[in-house]
Amino acid sequence: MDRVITILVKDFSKTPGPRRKVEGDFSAELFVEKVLNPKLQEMDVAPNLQISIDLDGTLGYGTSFLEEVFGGTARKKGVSFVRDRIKIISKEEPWLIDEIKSYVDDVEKHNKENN
Amino acid sequence: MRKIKDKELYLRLQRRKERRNTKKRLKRKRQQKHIRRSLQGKDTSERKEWINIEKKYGGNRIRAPKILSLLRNTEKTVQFLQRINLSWKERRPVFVILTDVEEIDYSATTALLSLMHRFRVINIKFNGNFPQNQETRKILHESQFFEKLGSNYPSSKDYTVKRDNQIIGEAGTQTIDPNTELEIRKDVSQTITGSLKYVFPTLHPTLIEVMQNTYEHAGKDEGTVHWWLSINHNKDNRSVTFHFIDFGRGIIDSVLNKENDRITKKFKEIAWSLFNSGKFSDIIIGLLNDEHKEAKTAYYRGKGIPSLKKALDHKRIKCLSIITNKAVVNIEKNEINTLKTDFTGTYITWLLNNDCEKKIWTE
Repeated sequence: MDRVITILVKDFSKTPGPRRKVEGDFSAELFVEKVLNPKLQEMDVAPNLQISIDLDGTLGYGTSFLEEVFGGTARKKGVSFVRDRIKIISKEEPWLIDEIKSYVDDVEKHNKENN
Repeated sequence: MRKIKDKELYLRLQRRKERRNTKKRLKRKRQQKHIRRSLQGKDTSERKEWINIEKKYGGNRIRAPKILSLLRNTEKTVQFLQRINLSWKERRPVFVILTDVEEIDYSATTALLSLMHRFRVINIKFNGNFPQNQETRKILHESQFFEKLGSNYPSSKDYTVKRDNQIIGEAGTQTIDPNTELEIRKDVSQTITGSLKYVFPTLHPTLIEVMQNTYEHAGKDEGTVHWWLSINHNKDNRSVTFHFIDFGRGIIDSVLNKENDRITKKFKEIAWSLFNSGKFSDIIIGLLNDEHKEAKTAYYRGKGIPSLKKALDHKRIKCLSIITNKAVVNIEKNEINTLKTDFTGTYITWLLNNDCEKKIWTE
């Protein structure tokens, strides 16, 4: 049975910031480094492990934060990794799920064009 | 002094010297005539003040238009701001004349603050006078223009809770301080809904997008241009207006990837105009619709400006307008205008009110 780890972004920050650390506080880069990467490393050794990222409870997200987290993970780990093993929860702003899917689709499109 | 033995050469040099002296003499006469005419009808104290300004600021007086507003009198306001900007670039002292200003809004106070602060930062002399109109004077004081002008290192941490009108800026050119944003959320919720329990989903993302754009694209190098944000609460209309400005190179310049060299810039403008039947404003429209992919440094970037339009389309923000370089775009009303004067910077304004989507905030 698949085990699911839930990450609440609001525990990282109520005000998720810009893309990079140099641009401001609570950046996507910092989130990936401190929160996401350790879980991804766990997932590498446990193929049945899935992640659920809960976006609720924050002031909102800049496009670059979401793109860096999900699009960046797709670039590093592969599009199918993100689609199959990362679940996105966003009850307060359901449109964010479609937005994130579009970022992952862009990565897939870019990979196809360059292969 | 060398002796010139050739008579013809001597005469030629003498004639050249005489022409130069005549030009100087005529210029001095014109200046004195200008001074006499300017001082006509003035009493002693006014004359003294006028002469003081001449001495301190080299006579560089810049007069503001009667309606000082980027939204209601865009062309003349931009001309006024660009004259000040030019003085800054040439490192010339400036005296800003606001006496005749009859109407002013927070777009202008933010822009003026943003410009005048640049003078302060590099120690160029500047000064100005107050508007005669009491209402205008009141708006200028209420906007925090003078308070922020006095600060050496503006920071978005300097936010005053429950204040109706204020300007915050970031000298570090990073995005807004997170704690400030949490306070802004409360104040916006209180003004619009009468309660502290709401959050508007576009409040934070919009601020992040515009500030990040300034950080990444406004200057030749990243993080070299400051931004300023004016937050204005209208308790009667239950709305909050945001005016964001930076005096970087402007969105269109950064899209066309212009150098700071004037000749290259002009050439590229002409070249763009020859091969594109549309106007410069169309570049903004293209960006809003996520076109101009060649302008992006990477395929996955540049989603910030399109997200503003999406927020507007889904009624999560209102009254979105952008003024940058020669383009004036009121995205909500679909109005596009071209400026005669190049506004070297980016001004973005938007509004939140009760019609905008909101959600319950959980602490």
